Amino acid sequence: MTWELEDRDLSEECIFRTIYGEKHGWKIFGGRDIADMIEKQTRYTADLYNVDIRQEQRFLAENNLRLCLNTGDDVFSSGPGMPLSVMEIQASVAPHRNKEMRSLSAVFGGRTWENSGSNTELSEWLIDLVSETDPDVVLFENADGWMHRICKIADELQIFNSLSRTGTFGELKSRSYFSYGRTEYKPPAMIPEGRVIIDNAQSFVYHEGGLRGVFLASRLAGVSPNLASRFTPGTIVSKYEEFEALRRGIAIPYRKRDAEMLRPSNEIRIDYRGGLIFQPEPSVYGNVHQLDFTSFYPSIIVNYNLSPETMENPGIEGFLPSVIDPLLKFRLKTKSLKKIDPEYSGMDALLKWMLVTCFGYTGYKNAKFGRIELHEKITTIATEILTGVADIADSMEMPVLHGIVDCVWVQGGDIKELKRRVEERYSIPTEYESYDWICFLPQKDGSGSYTGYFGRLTDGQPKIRGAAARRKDMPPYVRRMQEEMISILCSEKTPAGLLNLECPIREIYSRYYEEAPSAPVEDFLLRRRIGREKYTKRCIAGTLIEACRDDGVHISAGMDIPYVVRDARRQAADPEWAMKTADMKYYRGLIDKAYGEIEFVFSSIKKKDISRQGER
Amino acid sequence: MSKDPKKIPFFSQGTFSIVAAPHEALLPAIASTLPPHEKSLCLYLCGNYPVLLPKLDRRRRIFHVRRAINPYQVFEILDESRHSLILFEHDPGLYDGEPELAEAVGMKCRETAEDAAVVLFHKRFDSALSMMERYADRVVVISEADKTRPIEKARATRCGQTTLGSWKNG
Repeated sequence: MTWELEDRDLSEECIFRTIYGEKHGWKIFGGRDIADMIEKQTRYTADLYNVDIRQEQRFLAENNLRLCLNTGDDVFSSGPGMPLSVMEIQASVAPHRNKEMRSLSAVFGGRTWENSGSNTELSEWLIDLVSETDPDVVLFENADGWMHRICKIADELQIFNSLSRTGTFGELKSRSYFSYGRTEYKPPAMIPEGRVIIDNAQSFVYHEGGLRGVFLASRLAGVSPNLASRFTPGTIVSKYEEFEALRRGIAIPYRKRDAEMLRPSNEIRIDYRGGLIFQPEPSVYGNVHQLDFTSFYPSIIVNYNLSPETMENPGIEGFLPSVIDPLLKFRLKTKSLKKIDPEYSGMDALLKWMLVTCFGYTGYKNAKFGRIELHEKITTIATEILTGVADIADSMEMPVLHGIVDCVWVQGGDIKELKRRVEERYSIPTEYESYDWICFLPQKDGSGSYTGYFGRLTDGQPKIRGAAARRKDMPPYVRRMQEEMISILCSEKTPAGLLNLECPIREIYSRYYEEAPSAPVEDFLLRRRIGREKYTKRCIAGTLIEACRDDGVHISAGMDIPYVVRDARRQAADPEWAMKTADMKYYRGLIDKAYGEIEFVFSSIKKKDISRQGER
Repeated sequence: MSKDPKKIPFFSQGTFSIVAAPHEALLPAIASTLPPHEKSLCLYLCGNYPVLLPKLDRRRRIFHVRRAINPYQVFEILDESRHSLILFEHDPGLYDGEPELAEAVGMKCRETAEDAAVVLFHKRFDSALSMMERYADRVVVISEADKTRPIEKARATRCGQTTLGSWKNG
């Protein structure tokens, strides 16, 4: 095949670089279709590189150019944002169930416009308005739901669609995919040219990082802000790694072929290969400190030079640490800057998410630069470090109450000294928070929950994780009740004083329990992610899919549906737009559950008192 | 295809066999094929979350293990293998999003079996295995393996906790 391609001047022999070193091969002048053909004809034995790279990303990398960066600025600089004009657009309804926008409002340069009418009238009006005001950035709520309709109308009317400065659009197709054990849905999108349109209702990167986060993602990954705002942090970090590889002249594998090395069966970790947990004894504790590592896994990658190629050759400089190190340093900078200037919060959030996902990507089946044993090595070192931290704490007579992956909770002692010793030994920055008291919640079987706790920080503020007040599977009514209870508990500084609050807490419970039937039905809204498009057994998700179909709402796996349980026994639920009544027996069960977590505070303190009396 | 409810046969070099059987039948059969002391004779190929591998005695019977997280890594592993016995624990997840590659993997197993015994096994004869069937010298299906397992049981068979290790304090 290579001869045939050579004869047609479609290939030439070459030597190129990969992360594993130089390779001899052929440069093929063709697209993905030829690559796929080569793959099939060689029965998947050919190693292909640089096949699925975006052309603009390749051009930028090969010419050492960056998007969204002022000339002369460093890519890892935290300088001021770009002077761009921003228009905000909102439709009066969401596109999932409504075909008509009904009315649109726009805000630009301190002025507000509003209009209502048919989709055709509104599309024409919006196109005129954008043409007149010419904003650089458009923040359009649910843009990815409406833009297809607006573009279609502009095509039908044969008018210049000014939402794109060239009048033309690219298209991102919708897809459902499986990630971290659940189905996700990515809606379709129309991508304009010369203008940035961000769907501020759907974009995770915008939600977490704002405009500065989107632009930072764009300049790091070498993709347009339109795409950056629609990618997940995992895709951003993957694109960033690809961009850095291209910039350094390293070829990017088309398929992740570097399988695990040959390993003797007695050396392989199968049953346990994740992070370490010290399970807490569920109870209330006073004078507790939480010590957290900052960007734990990325720091391990950098400090221990962990990369696919260093698994076999630990002496060489790893590609992965070399690209993560500047991200890590930049994150430490933005983390301190955001404390002085909140403008940096967006950049910091984006970097945080990129660093969080860069570890997971090492074990992801489609990641370009990952490997099973690399993923394992990172968690092995993480486990050793957390065990080491526990040893240091023990030696300082600070009992470890709980620990999970990258943080530990210790009781009493000198936390500043513990922080100093830990940082000195492991060269990874840490942060700590101190609690006047903290309650580690029990699991169903009575053992300590890994992630459920709440407590009072030394500044009097509550901190809640994993309890009903923070859980997405609890309705607002129940979350509100528990938040109210915890804020009352936080008026007491000591665990012993908490018992004085049993009566007022009980009153809150009774009030919420009794008043539930008269609360507005939207207070009982829950959200369900649809895992598949068809269910054979009767279940809430199946009922919701049926209801959506009846109402003409298109459903794909991975979509979220807000709903209210109408009759739990019959698995009957109504989507948000059709909700009428809530099953009080079911929701009162949730109220009891949330109250149970608070009641546990009192029962565990009483239990401790009884055991102390017994000791005396 | 043979349906042998009583026992799983031994595997000879130069053959590619597919075995679908309940774990209770598969486990002793696979364990008995592991050579006692020669780790370089046997390669255990599996996905990232093997179900049977953790249940095998991996200390007294030492063999080689390689895990693949996509079909391309399976091709690579089979290409590089010099073992005379390849035990391949089938992982349907390998073909998520690329079901057509199951057939190519079957073809590769057939090719590798020219110099080795290749045994591909799973608790159920699923659609990926049926795409590979035509390349196999022998297909053994133990009857119970055909049955769909209840969801609760299927969950319980996942080899316990595979992500977070936990220790109880105190």
